[in-house]
Amino acid sequence: MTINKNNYEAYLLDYIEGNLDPLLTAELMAFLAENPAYDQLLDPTETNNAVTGSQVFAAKNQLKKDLSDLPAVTPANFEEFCIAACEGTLSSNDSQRLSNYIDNDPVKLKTLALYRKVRLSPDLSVIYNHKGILRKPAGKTRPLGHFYAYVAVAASIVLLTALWIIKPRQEKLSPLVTEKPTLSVEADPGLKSPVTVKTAVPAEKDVPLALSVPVNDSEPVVDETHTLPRIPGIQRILTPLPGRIVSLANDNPPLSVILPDKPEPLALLSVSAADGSDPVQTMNLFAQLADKIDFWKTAETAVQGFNHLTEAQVSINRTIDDEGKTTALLLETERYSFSGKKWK
Amino acid sequence: MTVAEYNKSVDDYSDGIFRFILKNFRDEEKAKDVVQDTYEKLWTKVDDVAAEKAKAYLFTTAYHTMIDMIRKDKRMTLLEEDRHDTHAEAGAYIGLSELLDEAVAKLPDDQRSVIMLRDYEGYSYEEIAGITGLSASQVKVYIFRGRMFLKNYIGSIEAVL
Repeated sequence: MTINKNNYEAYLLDYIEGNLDPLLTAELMAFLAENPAYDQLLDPTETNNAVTGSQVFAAKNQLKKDLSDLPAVTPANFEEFCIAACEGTLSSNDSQRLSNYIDNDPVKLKTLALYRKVRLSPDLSVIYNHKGILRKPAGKTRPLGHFYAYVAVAASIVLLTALWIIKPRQEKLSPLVTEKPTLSVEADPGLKSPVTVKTAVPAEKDVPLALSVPVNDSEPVVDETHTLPRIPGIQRILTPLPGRIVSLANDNPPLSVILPDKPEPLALLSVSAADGSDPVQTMNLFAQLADKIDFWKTAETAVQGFNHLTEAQVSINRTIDDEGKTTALLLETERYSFSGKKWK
Repeated sequence: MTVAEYNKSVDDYSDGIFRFILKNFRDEEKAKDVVQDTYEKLWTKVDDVAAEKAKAYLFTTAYHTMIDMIRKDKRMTLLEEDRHDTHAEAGAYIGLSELLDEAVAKLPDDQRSVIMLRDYEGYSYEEIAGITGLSASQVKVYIFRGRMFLKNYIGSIEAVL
């Protein structure tokens, strides 16, 4: 034997750490069996460290025992037999063993009788009186599964959000435009055919001029070296002058555009008209369309439809300011509430 | 399950669930809430739950709803204990049914639930395990301990009387 009382500690440590091979493990166990004093050093909690907690013993059911496996009814297991008898799980053989053990002993009989008394029985006079609210009419819409309900809620939220985003556009026209542009052309007393632009809409960046609408029936020439803000209604700008006047290329006399006092470049829209469409016209069409659609009614109708389909109780509400503009939204379900103020 | 089967489950099981929950809670309004909540959950899964599984589903759902509510309201348990202590100390004669009610109220939640499912509904150990999430062996242990407690409780009171 390689393991002795002089070197066993090293083997013991290897064993505890799970590093001892099976042959030496067997030898160590044999050594500990021969020397019980050293066996006490083996902490069972530490030896278990080598075994991971996820391992299970698959044959545990084979280890389980029944009352019939007990050799006899004894004072220690008597009550367990009584309970099994009352539970109706005692075999006929075990019932006979229990009966023999009791042997008309009044104390044992009373114990068994007490166990028979602790069987509960429901009070049938207690009934649920509100079955009516639980019942569903046969033609009732069947509920959608959770998945569809969630999808429907998400779709409603997306719809409301989309409406919320779209709605301000008819008033703001563009996230980059802070006020509704008003463009007018009028005569400048100092010039024969002047153009005065009354607008002050800052643009994100200058847009090259590419319009084709003649201004005052003139045909100006563009100074291609300049990139200027796009101004609908003005065909081409020849020279941006310092200060406030930009002359259009018109031979005699030149037309002028009077820029606003603000130093920002002029623009009515931040979108490009490279596709040939007139952004102002598009904008106006949208504004006209938006004016005809009641987005709030649309949203309410969508929510009502959702409630009808899913039997949900979703509701939307809004807060309106003195001008009739929506300032806050509230979306409520049976369990949740979402609210938000209009982003200014 | 069909709507007709769902409605039949209302007729067949709502009383039993109500009694089961009421016995645990001793609060009629909460027991009603649990019954209603349980059937609402069944209704949302009416396409998924087979009619023959409805009873197990209902009791499982009701049991877990009740456990959640008990955990949220530990104060109620303390009040229950106070009330029953007072009753027992009064020493007035009460029948076996009332005595058992007292004893059942004093059982730990797990033991009370498994014994009630066993006695009220006649569930097997395996079925109770499925409802409560315990193992069948645990159910047997809880029933054994619960029965022993009940027997000792009424035995001790009967000895006094």
